[in-house]
Amino acid sequence: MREETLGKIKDAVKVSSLSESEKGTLINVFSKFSDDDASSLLVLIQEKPEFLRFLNENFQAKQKAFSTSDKSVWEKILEEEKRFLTEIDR
Amino acid sequence: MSAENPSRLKGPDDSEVMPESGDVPEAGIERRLHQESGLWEKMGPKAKRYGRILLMVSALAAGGGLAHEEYQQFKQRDAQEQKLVEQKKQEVFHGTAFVREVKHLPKRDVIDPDPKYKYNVDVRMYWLDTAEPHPELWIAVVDLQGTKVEVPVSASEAKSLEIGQKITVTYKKTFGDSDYRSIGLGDGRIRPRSIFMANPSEAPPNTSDTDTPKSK
Repeated sequence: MREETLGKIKDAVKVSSLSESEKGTLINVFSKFSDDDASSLLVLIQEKPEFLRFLNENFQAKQKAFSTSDKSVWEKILEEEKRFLTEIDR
Repeated sequence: MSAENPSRLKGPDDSEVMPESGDVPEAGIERRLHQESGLWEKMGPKAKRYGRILLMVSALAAGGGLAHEEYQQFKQRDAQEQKLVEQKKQEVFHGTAFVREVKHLPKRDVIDPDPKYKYNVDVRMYWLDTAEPHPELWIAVVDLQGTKVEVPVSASEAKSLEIGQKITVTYKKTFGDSDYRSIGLGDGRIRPRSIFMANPSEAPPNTSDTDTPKSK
């Protein structure tokens, strides 16, 4: 079941417009999700394919935020997420 | 999700893709995760589903900065907190109310201008599982000199009520917004209305409420 879910997620990532490097990064990130999280993710990217691009940028930004003590980077991420989630919540 | 050994993760081209541990202390990372989850804790279920994925991404982006065990503990606590919040949000109390007075109010005095709400009924509500009025949870309705709690009802509903009649009341607690709760009258309908706790000292003494409640 998990493999099937991850397979579908990988398929979705592979057909996205992300670069090959970005695809690889995301696939590795998603492969670490729990079964529940992976299932949830699959539903969400099927529901909103552009979520993949958002996740890609989000992950990269978070890498930067966690490797620096610059609070403004993190705050900017939260602002983006809040805007995105508020739109979803409408 | 497992975040151990992040440096061993490989991309499809076998390249290493996960970050090295960040410089942010673990406590700082967990604080950031809490900060992030706070973004959507008051949002609807759909936004929460997206928010949780973003939170998972954060944990992985933190790489080795957040130990696997600590992340699992955080996730467990977060799940427990979310479960509690969801339970409370769905908490619905069913109580019994007694009609104390039915007033026909001039329309201009009715807060809700909707003509179907031209009647207000004065009720007191008690909980089914207690013989005594709860000192905090009973509610009374409409006092023109000092409104406490309003349960607007339709004209037909109000006309069918009699003084002393016992009615069931559905009281849906909406957490996170203390000013607005919901009330239904017997029929299961829920109407969002502003509720103010009445003065417990005005509760009638020793009103037993152990009977099986009867809908109006």
